[in-house]
Amino acid sequence: MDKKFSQEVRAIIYHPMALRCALRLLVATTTMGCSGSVSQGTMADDTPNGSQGGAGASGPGTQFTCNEESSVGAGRWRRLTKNQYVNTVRDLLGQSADTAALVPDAYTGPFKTNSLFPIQEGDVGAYDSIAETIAAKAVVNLNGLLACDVKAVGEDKCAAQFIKTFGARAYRRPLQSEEEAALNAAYKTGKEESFTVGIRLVVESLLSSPSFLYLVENGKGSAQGLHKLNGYEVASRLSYALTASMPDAELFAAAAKGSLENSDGVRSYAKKLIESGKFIGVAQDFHTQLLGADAIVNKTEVSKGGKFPQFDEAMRAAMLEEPRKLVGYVMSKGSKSVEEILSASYVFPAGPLSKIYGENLQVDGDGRAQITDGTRRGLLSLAGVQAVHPKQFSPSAAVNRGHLVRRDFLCEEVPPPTIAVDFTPPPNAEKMTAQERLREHQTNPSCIGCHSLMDSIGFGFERYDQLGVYRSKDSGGREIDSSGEIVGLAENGKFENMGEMANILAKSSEVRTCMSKQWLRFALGRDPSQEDGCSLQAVTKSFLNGDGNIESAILSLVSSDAFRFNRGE
Amino acid sequence: MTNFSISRRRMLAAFAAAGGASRLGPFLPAAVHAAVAPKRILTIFSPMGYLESSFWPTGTGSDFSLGATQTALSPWKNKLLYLDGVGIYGTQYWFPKDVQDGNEHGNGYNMVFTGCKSQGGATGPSVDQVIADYQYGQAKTQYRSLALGVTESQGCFYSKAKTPTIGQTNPKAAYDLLFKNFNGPTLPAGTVPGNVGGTGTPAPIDTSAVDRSRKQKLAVLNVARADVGRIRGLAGREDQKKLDAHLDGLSSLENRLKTMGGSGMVSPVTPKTPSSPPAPPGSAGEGCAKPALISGESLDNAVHSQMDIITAAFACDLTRSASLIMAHHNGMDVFPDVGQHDTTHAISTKQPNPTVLENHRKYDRWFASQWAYLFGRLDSIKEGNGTLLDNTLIIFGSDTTTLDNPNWNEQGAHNMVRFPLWMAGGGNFAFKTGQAIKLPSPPNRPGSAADCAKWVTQNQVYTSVCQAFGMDVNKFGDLDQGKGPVAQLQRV
Repeated sequence: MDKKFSQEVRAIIYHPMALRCALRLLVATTTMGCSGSVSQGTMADDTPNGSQGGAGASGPGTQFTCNEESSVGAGRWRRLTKNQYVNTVRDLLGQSADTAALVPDAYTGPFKTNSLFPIQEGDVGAYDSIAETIAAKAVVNLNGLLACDVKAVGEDKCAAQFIKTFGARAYRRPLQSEEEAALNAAYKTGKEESFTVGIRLVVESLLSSPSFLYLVENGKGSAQGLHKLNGYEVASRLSYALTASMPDAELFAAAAKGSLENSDGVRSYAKKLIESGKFIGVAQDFHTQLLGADAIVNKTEVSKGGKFPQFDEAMRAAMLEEPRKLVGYVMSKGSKSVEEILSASYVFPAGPLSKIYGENLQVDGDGRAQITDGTRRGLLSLAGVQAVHPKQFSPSAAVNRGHLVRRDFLCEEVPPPTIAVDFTPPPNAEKMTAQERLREHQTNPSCIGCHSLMDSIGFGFERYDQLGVYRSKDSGGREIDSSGEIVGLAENGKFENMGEMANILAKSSEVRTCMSKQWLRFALGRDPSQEDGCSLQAVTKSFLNGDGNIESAILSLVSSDAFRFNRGE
Repeated sequence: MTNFSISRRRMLAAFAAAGGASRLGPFLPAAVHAAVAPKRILTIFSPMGYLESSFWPTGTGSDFSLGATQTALSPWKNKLLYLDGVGIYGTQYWFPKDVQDGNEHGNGYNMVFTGCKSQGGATGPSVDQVIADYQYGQAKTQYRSLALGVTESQGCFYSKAKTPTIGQTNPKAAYDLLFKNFNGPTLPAGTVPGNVGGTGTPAPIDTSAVDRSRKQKLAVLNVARADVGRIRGLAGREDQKKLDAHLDGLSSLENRLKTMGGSGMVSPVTPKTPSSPPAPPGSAGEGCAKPALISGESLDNAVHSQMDIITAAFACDLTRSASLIMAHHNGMDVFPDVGQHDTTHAISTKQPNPTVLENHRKYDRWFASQWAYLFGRLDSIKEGNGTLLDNTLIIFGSDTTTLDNPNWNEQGAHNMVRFPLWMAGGGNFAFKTGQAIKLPSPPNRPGSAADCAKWVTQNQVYTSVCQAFGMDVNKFGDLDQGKGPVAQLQRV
């Protein structure tokens, strides 16, 4: 490894030719500024403009240090993702919904959120068809659904009760009288055929309505444009952020009682949801979406070319599952921390993965095998994660792997190359190591600005082949140098191997800061903006504490202004 | 214009409500006569263009030979339309930042079908959606448009500014959406659709049951509609757009209800004169049949499935506008044998290596074979004197294209002029096909917006296309330079 590498990189970052890249990075990494020194500052619980003290809710010493005009970023309504839809129908009716007819979820950054774009024409019809199937199944056991003695009480009365109670669960808030009347009209139409059909139409109507399909929040707000979410809006945000589903009975009750009006209340109910265990699945979703792990699906085509004969459906499934297992273990039995997720010294070599990790590993009762030789360390070193990113034609996967870390774990946007780039491999490419071939990036001024940020991280992963198998020598029999540097960290970013790199990332304040942004993005379905600075600061502070406990950070997030207030776009 | 009509009984049978999972059965058309065949548009994006020397035909007018990688298209040579000399205006990185905000691939992706600026997405709708709006305004087919993808769902087709259509990439889901409850003839697996009629015995229609189902479904949609009206008051500006789109979807669903069978069905429309446009909704021909879903997971199968679905959707007049994204402009690395980076990106400013040129040719041949499959499907369905292909204008576009012998140093092999924005089909209503039109070719190297403007642009092509569909327009997109349509295109 060229020892002068880091100096060159640093120098060239400021090279004029790298300006285009550098400027973009500057925009992407703009520091979130809060004026004043009180990092726990939140707005008063009832007034978005922060003109009153918020004692009690936010603890002693709270002052209002945020710019009251714009202290919450603008957001849009989210349509339930497929996963949220399935979970919601499960909790509402105990059914498993089939959402295959819907087009794929739309993303915000790496996360499925369905917030940016309007619905597709075909999906409106698809939602209706899905609702029709669900409603038909729901009325098979009519007595169970109604919880009402039809003979004693009468059909119409039972229907009215059902509309009120079930409707409130479906819309995740009490119904207004005109909504009850509209649903009653649907009931009456169905009842011309039979009582059962009447109830079926009520269920289908509710599930076909935007109030069910979207997380509707008042986006008009006050004159300042800010709206303090009401209890039901907060309940939905909480339950979808922490359980990927609708609020449970306790949360509905809390909303009705006004217990979600202040940040302490939100925090205490969030704690309960986390304790229920459902947050583990959400943390798994967060990390797998962050890694883009779904992309392993595409690897089928690669395997068909005969390049990786050992890669098959079973291995793909195991690769998709392993990051979930690691995060699941950390969040249930481990330290629940960013640090452990990024630097765990164990893998889960189930089934076909033993072909990758080695047959002789000792597996404990949790399915874990300790890796003591440093060949694996943390989430990023798992076979499936490494197999997602290499591309077929790249002299090495270093660029793509490094890009993933830069973009998703350091929250820095690296722009795509201009076409004014010579992609020809250097002469004698086949005799060179990956680093040597990629040296072009380090010498060509049009490449260096961006590639120094990616390649020198990617080198750390160079000892994993395209399937994520560990190797110490490349196909030409040359020793692989996996040293590199994470450029731009406050701390020393140099490492000799992947294990050291994982440890740097696991402790890096930049990674923790990025995680606070990513969690906000994931939980609220929108990109954080400058206005979220104070909220992010609180979350980041929590992440920076010790090993970066994710649950604590989430509690900071849900009690922040960004979570409890809304500004329509 | 062609004339065709089929028996009312046959179509009623074909579209009869099947009951079962959906109590409405199929939302399928009831109109049974069509004196005028519908005009369809299909736009297809494939990444990285073609290697110039082996793509373009030699010869001009009707006297031309296909390019070396395009010979799979020979059977349909007289239905192809090449426009050699289109420049994709606005994509080059040196255009001002208020025109484009990315690199040439991303810009090309946004601009090629929209003729609009690239600003975190295209700033206006793509041609398939403009035509969809126009035609749907005239005749409400069951779906305003159909968006499909193979390995990518969005990014080059836009319904509005910065609002991409999101294509279904799962053929099974697309199939279910359109054909799950279809009770008409089913093609046996492996057969080519055509006017062979298919197999299956349609169930008889229970008119009163259909009427009742319709009434119930409308009651459901009324609740949804009222809900939209109420929550609109809470919505910010962007969310109001979402509610508008949701309402459009509800309207389209209601429209499908109106065209289903039953006593309230729309009467078949017989136009006063054979040429009076447009064809009424539900102008399905004999070739309308449920496609056979291809099983087996491979890239070819995925492509063919989507093409079968588009063919059947057109043949049954479920929609008149469809789009297909083969892959993201940077996303075809799962391509069999040749990775995307073995194509344009592998061809450098230096002497091209024969292997990389041949790789690009492989890539181009594979695409041509896919287009041949599509043409075969569409052309096998008779509509009057012609075929479905003659009543479908297909426009192919890409994000860039490739010079064999690059000498424009700052752009490598990437080329944005002599752009393969080419067409096929539509010979019954749009342009004279079987033509290789050589457009005037300005000096080869556009280095400024003024140089670029000398080329025929995508905006001009789409102006011509809109006119072919009957629109009274003389410009298209926000990069339009007021040059009107492409003079060299001959209308039929």
